[in-house]
Amino acid sequence: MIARLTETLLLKVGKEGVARLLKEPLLEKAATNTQLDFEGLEIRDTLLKWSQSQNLIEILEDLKRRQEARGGRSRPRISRDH
Amino acid sequence: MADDLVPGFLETTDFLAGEDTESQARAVIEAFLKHIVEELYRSSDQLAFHANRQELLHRETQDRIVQHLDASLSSSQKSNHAPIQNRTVSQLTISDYAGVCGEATITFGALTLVCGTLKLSHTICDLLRIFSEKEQFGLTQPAAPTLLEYSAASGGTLRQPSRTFMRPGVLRLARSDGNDFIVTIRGSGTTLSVGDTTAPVFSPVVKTISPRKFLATFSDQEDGSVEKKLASHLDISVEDLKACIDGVPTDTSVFGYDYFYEDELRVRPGSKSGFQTVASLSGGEQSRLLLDLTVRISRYRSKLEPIVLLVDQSKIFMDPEGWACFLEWLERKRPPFQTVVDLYTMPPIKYLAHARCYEVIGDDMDVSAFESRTWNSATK
Repeated sequence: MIARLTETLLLKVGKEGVARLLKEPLLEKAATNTQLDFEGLEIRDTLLKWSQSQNLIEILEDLKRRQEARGGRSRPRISRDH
Repeated sequence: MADDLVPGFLETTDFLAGEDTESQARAVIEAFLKHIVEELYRSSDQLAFHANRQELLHRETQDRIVQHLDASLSSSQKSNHAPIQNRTVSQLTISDYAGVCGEATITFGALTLVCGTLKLSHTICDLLRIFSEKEQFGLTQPAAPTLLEYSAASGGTLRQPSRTFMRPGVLRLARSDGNDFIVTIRGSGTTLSVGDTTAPVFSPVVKTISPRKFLATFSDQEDGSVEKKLASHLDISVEDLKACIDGVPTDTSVFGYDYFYEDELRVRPGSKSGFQTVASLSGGEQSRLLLDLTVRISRYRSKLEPIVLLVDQSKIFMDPEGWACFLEWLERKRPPFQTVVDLYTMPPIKYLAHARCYEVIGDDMDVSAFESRTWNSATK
């Protein structure tokens, strides 16, 4: 699901578009939402700290590559039968 | 995917969840990435919207720039800060004359600046004066043959008429009222034609005012000839000069000069407090005085007939700041007469929006064209 969404996202706005969007407010929002998923753990700040040490665009691209390798293209192919 | 990230996650952070640390870390990372992607996906719509908006703004800006350029070009082409009926000189075409090889054309605006006329035998002001001054027109005529006497080796005297060779050429002046005037220079003589009809008698077809070198000395002051000298430079009588000095309420001075005429002309330059005689002014101040009065006379005359003010920078000794002040004044005040300036040194002006600038293209006496420029490109 994430991989497919990532693939669509990268197709839609490209790597540069993702880089422009992937700013602190967006990461904070994602970290807060994750914190809400794991109420028993104090992870918000940990995730923000970790995200700063990672190249998230590379991670997302890697996700996309894996999705492609799996053959799970999100865009429908035109069948030769039609 | 998340499995690969777990070791790095645990190493970078202090994340601990007992025995389930690794599996919890994996779950947390997966959830975090999922939320990031969801947020990104949501924001991507905004990004696309923003991009479209930017594209629209960009297109709007482009359209505005094009509109502005069109307006600017048309205003520079029309340059109608002189009332349209007062723009007498519309276009001058020079064919094989004065150092132009082939044909070259200048289209005039209300303020036209021509740079590089040193490559020609005549300035543009000189060429325009051929159409306005009988003397200047006469200079294009071949000299009357004179009898030259030679002493022969065998004794006696040989008499031969002198021969002059005029380079044939054509000057075509288009006036804004649609009339074309052609001056044809040939070895046999120069003719002025109105369209296809040759005019047997020369008559000025444009009215010009062209200030020349002026320098009043103390001896001029002593014998009271300053005013006479100044009036003759302006091609008016001393009485007319006095009337100009008295002026009319709407008069404005280009350089902020103030005048006073009782027994003699006294001037107060803008930067000084007292009135002084013309001879006591510096050369630059005297040139300012001359230009100031020329502009004043041009304004008066342009109320009665269309006037072209011809200014040759080489004939007026003035510092670059003075020229900058003069040209900026013409640009700002939009006087009701047309001005043509032959420029040799560029005054320190940032930008002249309405001036038509031309650069002479070619070598000395081998000029091919007059290239239209903006002020910025002409000053580079």
